[in-house]
Amino acid sequence: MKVIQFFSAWGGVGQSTLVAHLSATLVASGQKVLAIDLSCGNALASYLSGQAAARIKGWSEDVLTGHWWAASAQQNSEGVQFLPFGEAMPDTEFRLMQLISQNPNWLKLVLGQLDLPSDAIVMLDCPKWPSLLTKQAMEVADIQLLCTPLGAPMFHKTGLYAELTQHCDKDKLHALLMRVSPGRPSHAESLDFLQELPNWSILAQTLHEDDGVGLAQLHAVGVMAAFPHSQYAQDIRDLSDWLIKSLASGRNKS
Amino acid sequence: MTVRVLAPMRMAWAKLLQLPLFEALREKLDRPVSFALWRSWIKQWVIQLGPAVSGQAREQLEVTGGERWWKVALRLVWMKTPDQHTWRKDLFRTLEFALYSILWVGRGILSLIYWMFAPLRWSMRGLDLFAFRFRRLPIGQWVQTSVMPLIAPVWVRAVLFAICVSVGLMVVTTPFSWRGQLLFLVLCWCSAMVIRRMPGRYPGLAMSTIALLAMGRYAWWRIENTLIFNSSIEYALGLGLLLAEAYTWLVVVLGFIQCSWSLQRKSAELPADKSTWPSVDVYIPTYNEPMSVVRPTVLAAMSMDWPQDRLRVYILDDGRRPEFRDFAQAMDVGYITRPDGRHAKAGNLNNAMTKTDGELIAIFDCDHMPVRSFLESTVGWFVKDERIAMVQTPHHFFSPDPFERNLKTFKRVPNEGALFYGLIQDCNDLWNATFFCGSCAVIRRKPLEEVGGIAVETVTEDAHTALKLQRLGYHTAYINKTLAAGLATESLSAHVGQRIRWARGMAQIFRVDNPFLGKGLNFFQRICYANAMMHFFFGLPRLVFMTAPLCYLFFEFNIIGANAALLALYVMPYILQSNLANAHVQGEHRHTFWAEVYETVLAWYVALPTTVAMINPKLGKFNVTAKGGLVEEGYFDWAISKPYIVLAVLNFAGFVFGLFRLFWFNSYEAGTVLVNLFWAVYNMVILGASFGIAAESRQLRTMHRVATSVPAVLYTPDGCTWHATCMDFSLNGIGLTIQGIGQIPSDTRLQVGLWSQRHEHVFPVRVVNQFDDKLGLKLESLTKRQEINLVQCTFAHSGVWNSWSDTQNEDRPLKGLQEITALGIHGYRIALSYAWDWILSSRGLLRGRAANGRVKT
Repeated sequence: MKVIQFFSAWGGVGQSTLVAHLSATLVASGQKVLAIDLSCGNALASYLSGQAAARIKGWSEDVLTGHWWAASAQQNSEGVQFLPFGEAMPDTEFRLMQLISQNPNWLKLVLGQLDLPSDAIVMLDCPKWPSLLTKQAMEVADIQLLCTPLGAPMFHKTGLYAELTQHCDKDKLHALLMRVSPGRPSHAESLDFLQELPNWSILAQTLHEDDGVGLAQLHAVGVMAAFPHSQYAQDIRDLSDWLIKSLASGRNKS
Repeated sequence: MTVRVLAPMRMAWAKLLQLPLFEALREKLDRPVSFALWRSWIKQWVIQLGPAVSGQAREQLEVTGGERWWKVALRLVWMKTPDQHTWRKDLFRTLEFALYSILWVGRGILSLIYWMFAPLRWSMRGLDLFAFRFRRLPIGQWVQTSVMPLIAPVWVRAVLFAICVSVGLMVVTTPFSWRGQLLFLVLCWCSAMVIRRMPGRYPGLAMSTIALLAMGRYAWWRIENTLIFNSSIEYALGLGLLLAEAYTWLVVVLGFIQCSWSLQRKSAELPADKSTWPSVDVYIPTYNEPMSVVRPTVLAAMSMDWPQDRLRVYILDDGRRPEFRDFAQAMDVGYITRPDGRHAKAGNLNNAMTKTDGELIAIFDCDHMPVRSFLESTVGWFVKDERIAMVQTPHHFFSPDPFERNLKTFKRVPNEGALFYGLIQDCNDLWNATFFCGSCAVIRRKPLEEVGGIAVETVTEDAHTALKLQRLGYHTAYINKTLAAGLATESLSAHVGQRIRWARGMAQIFRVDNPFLGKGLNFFQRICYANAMMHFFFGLPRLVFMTAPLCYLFFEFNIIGANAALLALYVMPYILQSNLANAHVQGEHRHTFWAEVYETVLAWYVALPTTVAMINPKLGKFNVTAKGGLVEEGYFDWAISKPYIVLAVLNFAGFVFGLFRLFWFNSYEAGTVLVNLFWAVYNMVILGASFGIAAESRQLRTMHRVATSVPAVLYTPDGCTWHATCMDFSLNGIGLTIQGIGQIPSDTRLQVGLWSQRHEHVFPVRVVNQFDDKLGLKLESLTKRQEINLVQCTFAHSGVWNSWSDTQNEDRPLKGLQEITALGIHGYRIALSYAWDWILSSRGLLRGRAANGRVKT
């Protein structure tokens, strides 16, 4: 079992969209994938199943009620297996954290309980940093992808990388640039700035800003099917190739 | 009476023209394009002959004066003509039929020859099979383990060498009967055919050795047995031919030593600490080249990967143009001028050296755009080896030179420079004798100052400077990796002008600073430098070979005192083996027979300058090579092809004479006549190819588009992105292929993203045209930053030139011969058609065409 962690310190960077598309692409290329949504928005399941987030049951309820935590796992028509977070009440997150904070290895433990083949890939769609679950995920992940936007949001958190490397293995952590629009001066400039920063390992693969993504989601279809020739689809394919390659070689360096 | 006889004849003739056999024949022969061209040529000829002969024809054809010639032609050939003019049609039909018949017979003869050579082909196949069986044996391993230890001691090697040399001398000097020589030929050929299939680089060496032996035998026999002359004039001519041949033998022997092994040097790693990297001054000398050529070079030079505080770019403007000064200021690069233009480029560089102080100097001709990694790939050696004074990289041209453009061989046949930069420089490097080639090189300042800067005594300052550096014991290095690219000369006259300069300069060095003499060089360096210079003396010998068969064909002078069959038996192994060896060793860099074409074009023009330079090296001046121009209209360069026309006419006349000799006057020595006839035909073919080069074809674009295949992104105004592949680029436009995008209206404004290493840059573009999924885009006005980025994403992109030679055809000597023959025939056709146009236009029949500038004298 290989674990890939997706997380971010910003909202709205397109992280769940990425995980959904990437999972589908990996499955299409013959990988066994389980995507787990660890954030209470329940967005991943919504993208993968095409249903409204509120109606999907998930692991949070099972854990809090003492049931088998992966009981709500589903498989969609594309063959992607996923475990939704589930509908969240106002206090769900608080209760969950209470439970989890008692065991620093909680995530490792529950992942270990899953009966997955050794070559399966587990994709963790983590909550926004800083968060307890994200920190626990860092300890189990083989590859950590920090979903980073360009422009002003990135600018304000340039110290983030150094902060993160205190919690995780530097060689496994990569910044993945999201919603890149190189024609925008703010993006071009912040990219220049980012590449000059020491210690940041930035993945060569980036994800382009593409209106087709939103359009596809409105119609509850994947970008890969709706706009197979879009750059976003190509980015996903490139990223999937990179993941397969780096998982196979055991080296996670870009 | 006449009517009664002629009418049925006409009928019969018309019947014949419609016979199914003829139709079948016609169908069969119509296929090759070349034939169609011949046919249209005849058509044009017949149709235009009429008006040319009789002035009234125009009226008869109901052609009004103002009509375009091609409309007339069309009417005559394709449209119905008035009935009373059917004779014209018949004439055409008859000629056409005659042509078909001739070609049919010709094809028959060809297929006869094809089957005559069947045994040869079968034996080649057999030898190949044998070679593949042989190849499987672990001979290399066996040699490594058993033979190498035996010959490890130096004295064993010396003895072995002595034995080999004496055996070689024996092979060369032993006289054989014709049977013996025939056996020698067959054995050499068989072994070469087997050896060439073996892996590795040693087989090339073995084949070259066999070729050398075959040449030695021929040379020895030639000197020993063939210098028997009947008269003093034959003696003089014969000696001339022998001298010309002796020159080629010498060049072959020197070339054998020079090119025995290529070093294939890799880039050296730079130290991790960037603060220790040496500082580099980049010199871009320019004189009269337009801004559009210099600008991208400066941008590319500025964006090379190197610590910015240690990289300084200078424009050395000998033209002292305000436009360039302003540009330099705007780009924040250095701008150096001088009051006079003494010593041209060399003087310009020397002047700049007094005004800058970088440890290293990188020199780029003003049209050679370096890729980003240029310095990182070359400077490593300066750090690693203190004695290295110069590192050279290949000169690469992304636009077709006149040969490639006019013969349509661009990216298909290796160009003239490919052999030098692909193989010879790499081999020179083994002997520490890499030359400086004036551009795309890095030189260390200190040694350069020691030799007094760039040499100014000769017009090829570059090679001379390298020679001077090496005389002081400095090393030079060559990295055979294309790290910069530029524009080729755009016209044949400019190309010839450049080569005249090289030839004159090399002859000057040979005269004033002969590498065989003087201190500081080792034996092999002397040979490498001397061979590079002696190469340029090919002019006179080449002219001798072009005229030698005429001595016999015209005047019956026997300038080789030998039996024709025996001569053939001695020459054949030499020619055959050297071609086989060359194809094996350098086939990738120069196709067989192409050297003949390249050299023949230049022969007349370099013959005089080299001779003059040998007598008085001070004569002659530096001429700047024109670049970045555009041949706007196709034309035939009569001025430059005058010498070939004379030679071709002479050879043709000789050929006709020879036919008379063969059948009437000298039928008793048919062999001698045949050898000379063959020789004359070969000359005519090669000269024909030169005509093809002199027919300058039109250039379509002002900016050369470079074909490539790199990822790109297309941004449409609706916020969507499209994954695209960039198929070609220039500094004006970009060609993309995009799947599934549908029709985009022309003139739509879009944006294109291209990558430079990992950085994506976006450029504003406008749609110019679209064919299915292929999109032609024109770049909109760019900011300075964008312009630099564009150069970085395109011309300066590391590795952009790496797969350049992938499209080249494999060298197959027999195919090459066929191709050269076709080019030769094509050359005559083109020259004749231009001549025909000229005749017509001089009679005022083709006013429209002449005004278009198609005929230029």
